[in-house]
Amino acid sequence: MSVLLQTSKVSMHFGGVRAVDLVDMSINSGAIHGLIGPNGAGKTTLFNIISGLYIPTTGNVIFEGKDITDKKPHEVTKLGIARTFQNILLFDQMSALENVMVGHHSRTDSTILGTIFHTPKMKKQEVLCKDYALSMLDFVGLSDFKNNNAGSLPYGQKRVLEIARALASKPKIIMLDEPCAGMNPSETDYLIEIIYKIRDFGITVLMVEHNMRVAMGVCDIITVLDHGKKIAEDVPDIIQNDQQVIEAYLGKENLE
Amino acid sequence: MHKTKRETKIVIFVMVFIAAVMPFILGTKNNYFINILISYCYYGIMAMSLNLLVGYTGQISLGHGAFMAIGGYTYAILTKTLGWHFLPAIFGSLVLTFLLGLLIGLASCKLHAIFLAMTTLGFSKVVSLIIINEGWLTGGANGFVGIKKLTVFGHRFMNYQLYFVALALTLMVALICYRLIYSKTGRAFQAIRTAPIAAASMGINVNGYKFLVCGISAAMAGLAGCIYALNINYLSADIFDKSSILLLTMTVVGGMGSLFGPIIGTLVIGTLPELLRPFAEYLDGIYGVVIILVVLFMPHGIYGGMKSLIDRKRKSDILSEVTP
Repeated sequence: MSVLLQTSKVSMHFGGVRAVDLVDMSINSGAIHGLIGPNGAGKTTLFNIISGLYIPTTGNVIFEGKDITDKKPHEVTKLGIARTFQNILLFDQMSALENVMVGHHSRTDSTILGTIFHTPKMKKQEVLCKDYALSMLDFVGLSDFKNNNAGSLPYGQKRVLEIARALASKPKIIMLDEPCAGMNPSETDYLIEIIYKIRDFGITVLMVEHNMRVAMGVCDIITVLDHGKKIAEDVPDIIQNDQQVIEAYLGKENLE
Repeated sequence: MHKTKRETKIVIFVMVFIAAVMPFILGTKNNYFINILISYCYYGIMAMSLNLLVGYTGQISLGHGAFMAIGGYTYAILTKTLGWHFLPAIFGSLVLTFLLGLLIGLASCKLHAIFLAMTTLGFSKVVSLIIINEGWLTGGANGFVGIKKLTVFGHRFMNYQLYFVALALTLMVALICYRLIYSKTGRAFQAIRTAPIAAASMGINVNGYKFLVCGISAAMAGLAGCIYALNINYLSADIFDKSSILLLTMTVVGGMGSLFGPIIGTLVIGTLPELLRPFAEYLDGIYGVVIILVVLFMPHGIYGGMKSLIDRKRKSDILSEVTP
């Protein structure tokens, strides 16, 4: 399998805090890659670095062999990296359908002048955009709610809508920040199904997950962060029994 | 593609029809009423331009009157001082206001809400100070006098004819707003207002769009300034200085973030000074009370309030049909 996304020696310092410290991680294309670690381990910071919201203090992010460290968020999205947010960031006053259409933004090339003069090209693009958004809503099973305001949807559907919105940008890799947080078991099962569907669609998945049942069950490979450092990277079975990982989560056994 | 509802189309048609026959009902020679009608046009354009900026993109401007002033003065200087024809003069003032709008756009890329509001307020003060102090160009504190009436091929436009020109321009601006809002661009604007970080992560060039919307909005304000200059034939800095807050009142009271809102706001707030002539000195206080009442009882403006009333009525109608 080829490497799709790679971080090499990435560090992010906020003043004296090393939120991410010299992290090397490579994600194979087609994999479901898990990123776990206790609170404050730097998982979301790493996401923000990859998606271009932060520029790392040192190190590089390499996507498909190209250095994307200094790229702006919208440029990163255009290259094929989409994401969701830990604290859901939907466009609340817009309908579910419009939210997903915003996700398709970087894949339509109509300009502001095109919209003012209503060129045939722009009209065609709008139709294509809407169709694509509808197919994404269908993909995650939210077709019935397309005209509802995003803000009025129940919590679980908001999370799913965020995934649909991210998928609308036709990504090569989708980064899910705690997709199962706050979900009940049946919603979680539904989400796992969606994650498998995304993978079968040919999109690589990088996910932060606190729910160990999900992380261990779904991921092909797991990277563990603790205090900004990578402490382990392996298949779930080995991670489960890794001494360092157990220590990071449960604390060191005091033998004295 | 966005589909406009049939009811909405009928409402628009009726409104345009009323606007078109109004001068004939009130009398084409009645300059008092015609001037009020024209004021609806330029204030309407201003409210729509502010709505695009504040209501849809979430960039607060407290100095939008400055762009109206720049538009008006540029038109006046180009036609009277330099003797240009009116069309290139309007075009020139649109270009200038667009460029200066981009300047504010640069600031909006760097600054957050309240700081941008302060910056725009400062900008409007600077503009009015320049107008007052550069008397050789602008007429200074005495104002700019003797702007020519609109004349095409030797035909001097009557006031009511100017109204139709203004109305056509207003409708054009409304059409541009409509097309911008119900498109990729409009969705990007709204995304930037609600969640800028998410918008950037969805592939929207946040700074680019903020930059552009400031320019577009300023150019619309410039157009309103041209109409004002053509109508009143006299410009002075303090009128525009005062109008910034008046315009914000119109937009907020009418309902930000909707296309009809600013138009309703213009009609309501634009009419108030005429109805309250005897209480002119309390006018600013009345605006304040109106804003507070609207924010308390109709947070989405008059338009939003009407809409939720209609929705509630529909719901209760459906309920009464279901429950016998």
